[in-house]
Amino acid sequence: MDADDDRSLILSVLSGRTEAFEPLVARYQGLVAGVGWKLGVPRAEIEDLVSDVFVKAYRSLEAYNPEFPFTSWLYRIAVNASLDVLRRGREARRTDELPDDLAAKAPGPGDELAMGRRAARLRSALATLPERDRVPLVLLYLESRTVAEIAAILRLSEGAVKTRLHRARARLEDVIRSRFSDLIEDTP
Amino acid sequence: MNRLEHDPLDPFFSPLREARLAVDVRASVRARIAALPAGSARDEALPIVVGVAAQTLALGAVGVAALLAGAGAGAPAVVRACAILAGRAGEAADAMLRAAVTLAAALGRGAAAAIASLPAPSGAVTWNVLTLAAGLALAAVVVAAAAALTRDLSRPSPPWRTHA
Repeated sequence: MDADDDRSLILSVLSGRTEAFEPLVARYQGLVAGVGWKLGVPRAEIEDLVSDVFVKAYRSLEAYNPEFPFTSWLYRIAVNASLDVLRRGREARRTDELPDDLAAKAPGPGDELAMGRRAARLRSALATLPERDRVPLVLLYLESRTVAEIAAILRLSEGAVKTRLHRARARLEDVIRSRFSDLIEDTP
Repeated sequence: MNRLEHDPLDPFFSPLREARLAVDVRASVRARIAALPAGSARDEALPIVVGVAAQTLALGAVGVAALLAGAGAGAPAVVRACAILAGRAGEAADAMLRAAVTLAAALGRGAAAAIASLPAPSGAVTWNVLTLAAGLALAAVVVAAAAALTRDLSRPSPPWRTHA
C-alpha cells in the first residue's frame, strides 16, 4: 500500500478517470469493514456501510488534502459512518423498546462465526463503552494507529486523545471486571 | 505515544485485532458511482460553498437584527445619546448600523470557518435552502428595522420644541 500510488489514483479520479477509484476500493474495503465491525456495526450491515463509505469518499474526494495519508481521511469517514449506523440502530431499538444494553451485548447472526468466542466477547465488552471511549481504543489497539494519527482522524489534540484513552482503559477495565470476567481468566 | 509493545492490554486485544472480514463491494460501489451525475467527485464542494455562504448570510443577518433590535427597542437612550454626540441623528444611526454589520460579518466569518472545518455534510442542499431562506427573511427584517430607526432619528424636531 503506497501513499504515492493512492495520491496518483486520486488525481486520476479527479481528472475524470472514474475507473481509477476501483483500485482504492479494492485496497481499503477490508480496512473500512474492519473498523465498522470492531466499532460494533452488525455483520449484516457491513457491506452497506463499506459501500456508503466509498461513495461518500468519492463524492467528497475534492476535499481530500493530499498532504495527509488517504487512510487517515478514509478512517475519519469510516468512523463517522459507523457511528451513524450505530445511532440509527439505537433509535430503531428505542422504537422497538429493546434495552440498549441487551442489544449491545448480543452479537448479530454471523458475528460468532466470523470470529472466535473470545473476540466476540471482547467486541461485546467494547460495545458497552460510550462512543468517545470506544473509538480511540479501537483505533489504537485494534487498528494499530498512533496517537498522532488518531488525533488527525478524530480532529482532536494529541493531549485530548491521551486523556480519552486513559479514561477509556479505566472504563473498559471496570466493565470487564464486572461483566466479562471470563476474559481476564482466558487472557493469553 | 503509540501502541506500546509492552502495554499489558495489547495481548488482551489480539484475538479481535487479528479477526478479518471478507467483503467485496467493488461492484456495488461501481454501480452507485455510475448512477451519480457526471463530475460528482468535484460537485460535492459546491453545496458546501453555497451552504457556508448561506449560513454566513443568515448569521450576519441575525447579528444585525439582534443589535438593531437591542438598540431600537431595548435601549433607545443609547441611540439618542449617540445621536446627540454625533450631532446628527442620521449619522449616529448610520454609524451604529456600520458597526453592527462589521460585527455580524466577523461572526459570520467565524461561523463559516467552523462550518468549513466540518466533514462534508450529507443533505447539504436541503440545509442550504433552509438557511438561505432564514437568512433572507432575517435580512428583510434588518432592512425594515434599519429604515424605521433611521427615519425616526432623522426626523426634525417639532417647531414648537425649537421655539420653546
